[in-house]
Formats: sequence, C-alpha cells, structure tokens
Amino acid sequence: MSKTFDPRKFLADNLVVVIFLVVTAFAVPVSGLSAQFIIQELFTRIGRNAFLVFSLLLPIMAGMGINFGMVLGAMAGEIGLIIAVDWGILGVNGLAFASLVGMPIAVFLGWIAGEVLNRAKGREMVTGYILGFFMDGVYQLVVLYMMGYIIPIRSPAITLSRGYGIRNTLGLDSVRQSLDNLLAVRIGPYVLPLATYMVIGLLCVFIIWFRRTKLGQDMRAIGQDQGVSHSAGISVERTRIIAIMISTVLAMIGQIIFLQNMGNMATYNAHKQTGFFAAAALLVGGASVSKATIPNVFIGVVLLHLMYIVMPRAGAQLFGEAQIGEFFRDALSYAAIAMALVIYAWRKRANAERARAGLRGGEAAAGGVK
Amino acid sequence: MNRLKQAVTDFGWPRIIIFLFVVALFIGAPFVKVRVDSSFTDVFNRFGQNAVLVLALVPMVQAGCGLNFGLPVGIIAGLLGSTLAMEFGLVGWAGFLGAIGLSLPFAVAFGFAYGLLLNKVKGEEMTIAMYVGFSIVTFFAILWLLLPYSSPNMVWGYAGKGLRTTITLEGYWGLILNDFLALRIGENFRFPTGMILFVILLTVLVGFFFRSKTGTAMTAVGSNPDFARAGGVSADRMRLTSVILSTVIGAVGILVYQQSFGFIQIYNAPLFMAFPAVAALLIGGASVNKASMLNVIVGTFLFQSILTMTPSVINSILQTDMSEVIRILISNGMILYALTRKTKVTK
Amino acid sequence: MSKLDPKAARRWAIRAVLAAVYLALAVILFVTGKGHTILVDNKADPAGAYPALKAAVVSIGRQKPMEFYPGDRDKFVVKGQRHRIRVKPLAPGAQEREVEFRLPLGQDMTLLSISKLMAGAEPWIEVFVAPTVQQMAAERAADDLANPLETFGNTGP
Repeated sequence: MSKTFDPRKFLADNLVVVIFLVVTAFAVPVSGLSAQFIIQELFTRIGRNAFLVFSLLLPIMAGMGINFGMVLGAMAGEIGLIIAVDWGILGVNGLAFASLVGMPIAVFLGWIAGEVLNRAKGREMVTGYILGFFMDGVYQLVVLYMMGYIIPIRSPAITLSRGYGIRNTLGLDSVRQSLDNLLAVRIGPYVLPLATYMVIGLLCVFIIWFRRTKLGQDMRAIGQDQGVSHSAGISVERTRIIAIMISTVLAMIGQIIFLQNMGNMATYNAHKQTGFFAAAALLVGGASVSKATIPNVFIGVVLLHLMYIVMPRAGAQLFGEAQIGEFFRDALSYAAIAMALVIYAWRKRANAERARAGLRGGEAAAGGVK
Repeated sequence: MNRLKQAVTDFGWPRIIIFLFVVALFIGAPFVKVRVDSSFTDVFNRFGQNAVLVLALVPMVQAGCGLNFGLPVGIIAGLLGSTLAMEFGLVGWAGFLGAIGLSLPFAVAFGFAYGLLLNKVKGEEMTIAMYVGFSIVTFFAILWLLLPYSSPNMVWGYAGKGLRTTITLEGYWGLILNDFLALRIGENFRFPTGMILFVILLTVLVGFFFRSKTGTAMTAVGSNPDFARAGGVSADRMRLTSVILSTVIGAVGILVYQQSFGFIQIYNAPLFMAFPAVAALLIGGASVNKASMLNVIVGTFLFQSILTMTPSVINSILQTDMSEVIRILISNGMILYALTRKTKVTK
Repeated sequence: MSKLDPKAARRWAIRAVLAAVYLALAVILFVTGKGHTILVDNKADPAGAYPALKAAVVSIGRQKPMEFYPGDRDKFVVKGQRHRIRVKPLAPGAQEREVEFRLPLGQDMTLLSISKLMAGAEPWIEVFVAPTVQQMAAERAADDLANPLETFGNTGP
C-alpha cells in the first residue's frame, strides 16, 4: 500500500458519501431549519436507528452481503411487543419482556434464513430480500389470522372488532420511550437518551469482542475466501447460518428500540422499510457490500437522517412542494444502495480479471477459481 | 416410472402444488356459488393485461442476466409514452399506437444505459436491477411533478400542474384492445379477443426472434458463455441487446396493462410491479436462466387464475379474506424456490 | 439408549439451566412489570353506611398525590403488585391513613374506594371490569352461540 493520497481512488472509495455530503450541504441551509432542531432530531434518530443498522455488520463480515432478510428479526420484535403490550407489562420491563419473547422467534427465523441463503450462494442479497417478502406473508397469517384465535390475546383493545387479528395500529403507550427516558440527560438545549446510547455502546463492545473470537475470525475468513476456509477446516455453512442468526436477533432488538421511540406501531407495515433504511444508512456511511465498520454505522445514520430531516423542507422552499423533497430523498437513498452495489460488483470483477490475468501464464486455474 | 419421477423433479413440486391448487379452485368454485363464467372473464382479462409484462422478462433470462427485477425501467418508458400521447391529445388507435411509438425511443435509450450498467456488474445483476428499478421509479416521481404537462385530464385541478396519481384513459384508448372483436357469450362471459390476439402476436414475434440467428446466439451466451465466445459471439453485445429488448417489451407491456386496467398509475405505483411478473414466469416453469414462451403463457394464466379465484372461492370457504396472504406466499414462495434451486450450468 | 458421555451430559445440563434462567427472567419481568390501573373513587354509600370524604389528598407509592372531593374518581397506573396508599383528609385534626395492599396479578383494573377505606368498610378494593370490555365479551359470547360450528372466525367487515 502506498501512502500517497490519490484523489481519484479516494473519490471512488467514497463516492456515495461524497454525493450525500454535497447534496445535504446544499439542502441544510435551503431548508431554513434551525441548527438546534436538526441536532436534537439527530440525537433522537441515532438512538432510534443505530441498533438496527448494526444488525447488518456480521453478515457483511461473513461475505454474505447486506442481509435484507433482517426484516425477519424486525417481525420477531414486533410479535414480542404485541405480546408485551397485550399482557400489560410497563416500561423497560415490557421492552425486556418483548425481547425475551422475540428471541426464540428470531433465532428460529434466523436459522431458516441461514438455511435458505446457504442454498442461494452468490445471490444472497436478492434471496434475502424476497425471503423478507415471503415472511411478511407468514407474519400476516400469524398476526392477522391466528392472534386472538389460535394464539390467545387477552386485550380486546388491541384486536380487531371481528375478535381476532391485531389492529392496524398498535398504541405502545405502556412502553413508549421507556428506554429513552430511563436516563434522559439534558445538556444545554438538548436531551440525550443516554440509556439507549448505553445499549448501543454495549453492542459495539460486543461486536469488537466478537470479531476477536474464534467464531468471528472464522466469519472473516469465510468472507475472504470460502474455498480456503473450507479446506482450513471451518464449517462454512454453519458459520454463515450463525452470522444470519445473530443478525436476525440484533434486528429484533433493534426494532423494539426503534418502536419504543416511535411510540406506536403500524402492525403490518412497520417492518416493510426497515431493511431499506438500514441498508441505505450503512452504505451512505461509507460501508461497502464487503466491508463495514462501526464508524460507518454512525456516519451513515447521521448523514441519511440529516437528509431525511431537511429534504422535505428544502423541497418545499425550492419548488413550493414538500413532496418533491420526499421523492428526492427516496430516489437518492435507493440510488445510494444501487451505486454501492454497482461499485462492489465492479471491483469484484476487476479483481477477478486481474487475478485471471496474473494466472494466465501458469494456466493453472482458469476455470477452477471462483 | 423413473422418467415420470424425473419429470416431476424437473418441474418442481411447488409448481405441481400450485397447479393442483388452481384446478381445485376451478372445481370448487361452483360449490360455493362463484360464477365460473364471470371468473373466466376476469381470468382472461387479467391474463392479457399481464402477459406482455411477463414476456418482457424472457430475453434477459435467456441471455443469462437473470430475472429482470428492473422491469420498472421499461415500465417508466411506457409511462412516458402514454402520458406524452395523452398530452398530444391522441385518442383511439392513434393514441394507443402513438403511445407505443413515443415510448420506444425512451425504452431503447433507457435499455441501452441499463444494459451497459448490467454488463459491468455480472454476477450481481438481480440485486442491482432491483435497486435500479426502485431508483428510476422514485426519480421519475419527481419528474411527474415537475415536467410541464398541461392536459387538464392529467394534471391536478387545483394546482394546474403536476400529474395526478391515477389518470383515467376513458375517452383516450381505455379498453381499446379488450373491446376489439370482443366476444360475448351468454350473460356473464366476455372474451377480450383483441388483447389476447395482441399478446399472441407479441409472443410469436419473440418466439421467432429466438429462432433467428441473433436469438440463438443470445440463448447460447446465456447457457454456455465459453462456447459462445469460441463461436465468435460477443457476450456483452448479446446481453446488451437482451436488456434493450426486455425494456422495450416492458414498455409495451405496461401500455397493454393500462388500456385494460383503464388507468395510468404513476408515482410509486410501478415500484413493485416486477415481482408479480417474475412470480408468474417462474410458476410457468421457467428457471433463473431458462425461460420459454410456453412458460410465459402457462405461468401468467395460472398466476392470474389464482389471483382472480382466491378472493372469491377461498373467502367463501374460510369466511375471511385471506387472498392477500395467499398471494404473498405463493408469489414470493415461487421466486424463493427458483432462487434457491441448484442451477445446472451457471457462470 | 446409549450411555450419555459426561461432556454431552454437562452440555445438556447447562442448556437446561439456561432455559430455566430464561423462563425465570421472563416471569420476573412479568411480575414486576405488570401494569395495573387503580381507579380511586370517593363516593358515599348509596345506603348511607359511610360518607364520602370532604376533601383528601391521595398518593400511591411515590406517584404524584391527587386531591379528591366527594364523588371524584381518578386513576393511578402502577407497576407490580405490592403498593402503599396514603390518604390524608384535609379536615383539621383528621387522621392520616397509610395502608399496604396487594393487587391480583391477572387483573388489569381495580377499583379502590377511599371512603370505604377510611370508614373501615370491606371490601374497599374490588376488581373492576370496564363496561366496554364486558359488552364486548357478551357480544362475542352471543356470537359464538349463534355460530357454533364456524371453523375459521366470523365474516370480517
């Protein structure tokens, strides 16, 4: 590695971040929102979203790309919350209880997802995405048809008038912002949800520790090269399943943290955008499909949400229509994901070609190397 | 016996289950007082409405680009065509054909750019196609608001600008194919002859294309790239052609869809339109790297039958509206099955 | 069955303990976190057995005290089963009373009458079923009676 600064390489490495920075730098002053408002919003949103984004890290480490199947975990968290609300468990107890209920569901769903993705090597991302759609159907089957019918639900307040199925919107009054308010600290004009930050910090420590364990090392090895890892005696399939399982469990907890902050839950839609937001945040933070770090998560959450805060107002100011700003931020977020995927695929091919060119003299492994 | 077993494995048990499910739906319908004739009318309508969109997926599958989750790229071209035709005040056949004509240049241009991109990302086409589709749909949502459309039938009444979310085709070319030579048999059965003929025409054209020299070369690139390269076929060129073709048929597909549906839907409506089309193709027996005209016809018919019949039949049996859940499970389950199937020859 | 080797036996033992701890944790969270609504009211007995308090300050646990006048009803939302209520009548020379009580685990709503409590009448704490819940349960029971053989729910809206 040469240490000279190559602006072209830097730009190529951070294209998505740079574009986002430029757009947001324009949009912030245009929106006319006060710095204080924006900063407070960002503090809130870091607490709300960071945990969910973290759930994507391990599968990336294991070379499985972005785990769009994380929505399975989100669904598990929602089922946990429904039960906790139904049983009337208040505050942080309710959140912890929801996680305990969600845990076995998330582990089970994560295991299924891992098995499915192992059968779709090389196209994990699109398969995970479709798996999310499929499980959404199963989720509806359980929550809309079985809850209150096969699965007992005590409270008529949360069931539909027909007697079974959960209402479209679930009020989370019993647990609303209980984690955020557990240790809310006021610094100047800002309120920081310190307890939530501590949970996120704990997760960071876990991830740093996990990377050093045998399992974490195995995951990284698989991410580098499955063939070599296999011959080194690592059980590739099993390790990949574990990566997805942990990711699903983290997404489950992440969704509970997210929803306690929101204060109510769109029972059948809350998880639909989860994967998109988490993936966009991570990639906007400078991560790639093959490498993601803890700072990427924080940079990404701040950048993406900065844009989500200011864009509607900026659109309203520029075009007299907030909708334009909303469409624009969606377009930009989708484009960010597309761009990051393209850059990744591009590199992978360039590397493969370089490797092939290097081997061409020896003619040893023209077809053998994958 | 062995051969039968082999055939069943090749066909795949999910398809057999779905096929039996459809048969059961049609057999069960009269018992729960669902009219079979009006159901068939719906099935044929929806078949014609969706078949061309399904057909649009075939070229890319054959050329080895995988399932075209980026179908919205073509759909957007079609939307541009139909909104421009309306803006120019074209009605009737002039409107429909004009919409096709106006959408073609966009479809070719978009398909070209999209194809160049996909050529650079071999191996990751499907995920990227999906996000390219999402991006273009949301990006065009901005343009629908900003482009200087002025026809009062299309723009918001109070603002005088910005397209409506749904634009009616009544008085333009709504149902023009459906009504062409339409057959009415009895009280409740109506056969949309014109639309079905149009679908058959396009299917036959695409079928012939795949027998032509270019078509066979395209299939060769998809099924055996090394062999194709040895034969002097440029894989990149063939893939590019397939993407353009896919995009163009997609544009025509949404126009057929619109005239039958009666409305142009814009903004976020095309976001997820690729998924049911993909599901239909796969139900018809296609795999991620192989699809035929027969797959298109059979798949669309089966899938649309399920969509038409489940709400009425299943709901009257179970006394509850489960059709949405069944639709989600069947379509995504089918895609999932295809994606996780060990493919014989890839790379 | 073959003999379990000690390693596997130990692993299973650890798993069993973990499962037990998991369940215990869930139970503890449930018991300590279960929310109850206590409706406190200050009404006279219709038969005249005890009067309503003229004015009183009531607090449950460490929650903000509330003032009650005759006929008032207000609610406290509490967590857990064991609570302490403090009633302080605002009349000169009146005795303050502090009582500890337990709520039944399964009940969401209880009705606590401070007038009964102060007069020493029993029971001053009762299970309360909200009228809407009562009504819904009755409706559903009637519905179940009307369609006894239904297999999958009733017709939705």
